Amino acid sequence: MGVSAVLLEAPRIATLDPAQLDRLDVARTLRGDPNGFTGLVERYERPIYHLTYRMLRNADEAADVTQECFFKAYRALASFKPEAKFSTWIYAIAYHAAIDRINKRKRLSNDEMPDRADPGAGPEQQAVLSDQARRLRGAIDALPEKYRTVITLFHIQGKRYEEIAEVLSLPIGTVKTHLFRAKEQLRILLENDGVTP
Amino acid sequence: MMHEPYDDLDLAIAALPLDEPPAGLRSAILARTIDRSTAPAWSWELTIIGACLAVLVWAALALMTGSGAPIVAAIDSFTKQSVSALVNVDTLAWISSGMLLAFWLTVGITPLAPQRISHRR
Repeated sequence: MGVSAVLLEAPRIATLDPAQLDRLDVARTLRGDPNGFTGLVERYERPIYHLTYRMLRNADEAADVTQECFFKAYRALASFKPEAKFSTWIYAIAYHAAIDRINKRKRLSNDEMPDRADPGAGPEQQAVLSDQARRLRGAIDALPEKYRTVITLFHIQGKRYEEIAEVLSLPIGTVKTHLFRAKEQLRILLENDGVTP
Repeated sequence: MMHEPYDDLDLAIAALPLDEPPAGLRSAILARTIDRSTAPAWSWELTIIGACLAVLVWAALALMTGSGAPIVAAIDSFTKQSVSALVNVDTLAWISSGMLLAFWLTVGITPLAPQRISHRR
């Protein structure tokens, strides 16, 4: 795309909502414009890494799965339905890639593979979190995987029930139940830890 | 869809920042996707190109030093055999029918645009 075309398109792009911007970037990628895919990576790298890290609790594996997710999305982009929501599609790819990784871990015996959970976020990140936030994050990490994922998608990513259900391939009722139980367990964990959010 | 009102726990979770991806993750993703597709050639392609160049250099050197008589004879024999095969009516008939079949398979059967395949979720 030439400079003049970019300048002409800039005011229009500024008014687009994220879903429209995604659609535009998908179309640009399919036309062979590398800036399209770069835009998608810029917008989704952090939330996808966050989701995989919260699911896997291991920074190296989360980075690996994030890479794998974008690679799969890039290869399958031609089959992406334009009327679908890109965020839901890519979260579903990331979720299934992380689940595959968890299942791979389970297949290996505990003797061969030690607990891969990280002790927590890095020192820089820990420093910016308040004590209460740190305990809350610790409590979320202590939840079973299915509850952790639902909490991550619903609250931190701001996802709606319908989208979560689509990403996780679960009925909306199950998503609501998971969310309710996750919050219940979270409250118990926080009360035991002496934290009242 | 109606959502339950947010309580303090919801707000506390929503206020948590997203995890920061490791430095270099974005460049690694781009290297595996868009940058990879613009690579000039794959390693096996480079190997084949290198081998062809080596053969050409060897043949040129052999011809220049006067020891290329066997090469010239081999090329000459190959050319004569190819020409005699191509002017044969049977060979031409087989080539024509093959080309017609290929044309029919590509234009006559396959659709002009590839069908979209929905991604399995």
